[in-house]
Amino acid sequence: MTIYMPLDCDGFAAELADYLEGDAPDAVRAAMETHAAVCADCRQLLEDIGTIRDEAAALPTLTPSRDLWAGIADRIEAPVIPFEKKRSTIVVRRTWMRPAVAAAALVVFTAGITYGVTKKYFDNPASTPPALPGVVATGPSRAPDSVVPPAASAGTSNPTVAIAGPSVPSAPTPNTERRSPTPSGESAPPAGAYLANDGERVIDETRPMYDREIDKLRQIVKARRTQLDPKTITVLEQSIAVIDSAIAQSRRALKADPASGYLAKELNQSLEKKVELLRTAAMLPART
Amino acid sequence: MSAVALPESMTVPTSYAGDSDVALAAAGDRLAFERLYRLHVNRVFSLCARMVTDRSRAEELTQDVFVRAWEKLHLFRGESAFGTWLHRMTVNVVLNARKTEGRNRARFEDDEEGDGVDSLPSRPLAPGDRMDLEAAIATLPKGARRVFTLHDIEGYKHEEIAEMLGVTSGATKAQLHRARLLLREALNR
Repeated sequence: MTIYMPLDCDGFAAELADYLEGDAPDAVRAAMETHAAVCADCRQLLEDIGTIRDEAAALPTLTPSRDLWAGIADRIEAPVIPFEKKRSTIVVRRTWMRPAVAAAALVVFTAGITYGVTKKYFDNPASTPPALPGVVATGPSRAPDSVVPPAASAGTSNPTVAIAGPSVPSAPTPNTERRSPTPSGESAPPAGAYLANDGERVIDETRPMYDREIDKLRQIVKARRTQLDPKTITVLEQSIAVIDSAIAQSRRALKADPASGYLAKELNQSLEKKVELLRTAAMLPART
Repeated sequence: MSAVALPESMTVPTSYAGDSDVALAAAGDRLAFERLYRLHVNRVFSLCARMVTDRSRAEELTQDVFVRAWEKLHLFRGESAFGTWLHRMTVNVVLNARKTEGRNRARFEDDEEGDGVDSLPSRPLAPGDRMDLEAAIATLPKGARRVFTLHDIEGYKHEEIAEMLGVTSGATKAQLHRARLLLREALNR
């Protein structure tokens, strides 16, 4: 670039950047200083930029509006858990297992009671069903095929249903007797299968069992209609209609979201309530 | 004229209370790291705030800087002062954040870096207005503001800035000169 000496204002402006950065040759540097000495505007420009530079270097540090440490500490103190994904899977399975095992146990319990009620009723249709039988659990896992009918304790006012797990030796005792297949004639899966499989499958498999129990209890209640008070029948039917509605809603919701543990649990609870209600109705004393 | 001397705020004492804390923090001592944070947070925040002009965003970036420093502290060899290392990391965090978050947005903003084309300040002043230098810096176009902040405020050399920004030192000199002229205009001097 050609530099015309002495510099005019345009030449001064053109060379200013290099001058400020110390990149201008000595001859140019001298020419700029000569021009600034005689030109007030260019001198003012040089002074202003020097002032800006000095003020910039002296700017104070800024302070955040809040203490930022808490947010930093949260991030650096987050624990690192190896194999987190695998661990969470296990937790989910265990979460599922709890209601699943409970549901399986309840079905077995209900099946035993239903069996007792059914047998008692069909052995002697005119009789009043027995009072709610007691239960003796003799093992950690239960299944319908291990239900002992109350016949073994016939003649007592409080028949006992003994439930024995498959891992428990099944030697007959005065109060226990293994029966297989189930009272309905269907062979149920072995009790161990409930614990060996994951929770979802256990819950799914308990639903047909609930349905079977409900069918059996319905037959009893239907057969006993003439023995029961009409008002009681009305209340019973209203209650069953409410529960049936809840069951239908749960089934629809579960169909749309089959993986929902919450919906599965809700459905099983509704089925459980229906079984309880029907069982109560089946055991009501006859109208006098 | 020689290059601008390192400003006082930029200089890091060779012996200060944080020396031992650096070693402790590198060994996983969070309390020591908190002391380092207390010692350096304002300088880190200042750089972030002047680079991005948004204080809340600057606070987020400041947190990012210290989290990253915690993660990378084992790599700090003590070849420079911890403050220098941290400051350089701050620049990198700010620049990388802007790259990642603004790829689409940058097409419509004043990302004229390196193109040598002057653009208007992001917040033009009405004639006769005066403002302080801090506010005037915030009105600078992004490229000019970055270079001005790094050079005239933080004391980096053009070669260092050029390396950080991935441009030539000639481009950073041009941006700096433009920034100074725009500031003079904004300050009505």
